[in-house]
Amino acid sequence: MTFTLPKRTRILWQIRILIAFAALGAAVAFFARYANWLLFLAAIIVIFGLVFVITYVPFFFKSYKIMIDKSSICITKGILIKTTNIMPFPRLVFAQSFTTPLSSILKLKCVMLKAARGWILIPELKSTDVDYLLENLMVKRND
Amino acid sequence: MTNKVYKAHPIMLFRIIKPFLFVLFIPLIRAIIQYITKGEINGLLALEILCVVFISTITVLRWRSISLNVEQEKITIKKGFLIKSCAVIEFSRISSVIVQQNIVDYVFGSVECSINTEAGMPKKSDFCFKLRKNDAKQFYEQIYGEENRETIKFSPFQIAILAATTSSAFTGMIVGVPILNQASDLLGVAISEMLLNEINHVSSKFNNIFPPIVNTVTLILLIAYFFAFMISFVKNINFKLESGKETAEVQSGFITRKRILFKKSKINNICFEQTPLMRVVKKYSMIASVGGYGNARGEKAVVVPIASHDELEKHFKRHFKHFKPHGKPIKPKKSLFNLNRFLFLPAITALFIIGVSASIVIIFPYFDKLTLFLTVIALALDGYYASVCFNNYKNGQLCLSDSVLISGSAGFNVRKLYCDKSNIGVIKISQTLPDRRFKTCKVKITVRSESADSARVKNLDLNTVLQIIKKQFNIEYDV
Repeated sequence: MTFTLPKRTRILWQIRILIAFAALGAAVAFFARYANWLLFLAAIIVIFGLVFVITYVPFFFKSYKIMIDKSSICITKGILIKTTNIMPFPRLVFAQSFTTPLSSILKLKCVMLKAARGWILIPELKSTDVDYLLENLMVKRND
Repeated sequence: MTNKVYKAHPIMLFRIIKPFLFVLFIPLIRAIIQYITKGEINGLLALEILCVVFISTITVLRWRSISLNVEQEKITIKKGFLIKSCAVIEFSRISSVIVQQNIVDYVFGSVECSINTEAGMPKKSDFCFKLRKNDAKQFYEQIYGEENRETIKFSPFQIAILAATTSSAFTGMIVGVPILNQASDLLGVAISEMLLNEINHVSSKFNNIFPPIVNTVTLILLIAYFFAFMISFVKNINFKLESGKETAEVQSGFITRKRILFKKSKINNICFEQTPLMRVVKKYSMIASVGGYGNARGEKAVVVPIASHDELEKHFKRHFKHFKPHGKPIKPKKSLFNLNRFLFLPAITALFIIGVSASIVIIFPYFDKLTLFLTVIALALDGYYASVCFNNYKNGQLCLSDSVLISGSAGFNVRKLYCDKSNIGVIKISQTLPDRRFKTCKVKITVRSESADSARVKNLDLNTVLQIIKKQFNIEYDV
């Protein structure tokens, strides 16, 4: 079974990254009273953030593939550097879900799969999918 | 099994608020007292009150959000107010549950309950909460069930021997020096300087061939050792082992009482360990390595603190017999030549020490007494190492079956390690030039666990070792 991340996850991360860049730009602009060129730097930071959010982020989240078979879960991601994480089910110790105020508005949850001294993070999925995944991972592990 | 939901004890509020106690709350209390007594208002009082109200609100919301839901064969742990987390853990994946109660917990009827799995960070519990005492009892009974357990108690004398043989001056200094410094700061008295002066005064009264600095250092080490001994003794007094068919519980502690519960199936390996000081009194301790043990050092549960080897074997056969291997053990050949091989390295080391000491005395005659002192220490250590090598010759063995036994040493400790074959991480077979000549080898087995316990045996017949490994692990290629 293969599935990709929902569109809402991309929107969520775009909002988060934009807020982060805006906050950084605002912090730099605050100190512009001491040096005028800092205002220019703040503008560059915000523009860079916008470009990053519009160009790189959609492709990055589109590259995510989550494959679940009988014996393991496999997550592939990345544009420039492709990474594949494989976790065999017998090595799974427990699963933990996280939700923030913003992600709960969009009805999304992220999942962390924990193995001995290692973990895999699955970015935000639909809450119903996460609950289904948590239940079925335990069943698959026992199988 | 009925579902049950456990909520955190109100004392958890203080635990959550602890980082802000000295930064916000105590300055605010001081400001309020100042206002009441002197009528003076601090310029930042309004801001402090606002911060305290904000932090307190977040703290209460965080406390309220903590819940443990025990269902059929799994627990669901929910916590968090802004960032909510929900962890689902099966009973079979829980390594151990630690329940601790200090004086404050005792007054408020709470306990600190830590849940550990193999996925946690080293030396840190996965989940740690304050629960009501009765809730914690029900909680671990739901996970581990209720079974009849045999209680094994140990006398204060045995605990004292354990404390004496496992304490070190280094540990005493690591723990004692910060306490001394903090006490000095609190009292405004230079306790460290006073203590050092007193030590110098006492050590100067000893007239011997060694220089005065040696007496001072020896006294400091003895005091640090005594301090470590007292800590270990108080920590382990009331030590009790409760062993059932499937579960084990270790209780210890006097001021802070601690209970550690784990399933016997979660034990990675059992070690009979003998430290240098234990070797003097011919005692051993039995230690179980439990997966994801939590915040204890090196995830080891002391199961039998101190006993003779025979008593330990009795306990082992009674409570952990599933670790006992079957089959014929491989032992080093008993001959004078082989004994000489075992004692070769200590002998060479002794000659080297004497040679270096003689050279130093000749080159730096002013330091002759200090050199003599250090030479005595080095030769004593070498003598101990020779006794460990002799023990390896006499008692060394390797037994590979569904369970594994390797009896040898690990550093300066004599160790006998039992584990399940499936828990073996690495088997290392190495040969020095003499080993290649005499077709022998050194075998080191490391257990797959956080503490990575290992033991090694020297001078075993190579062909026999390879045959047994190939048979046990179904290796088809030639090694």
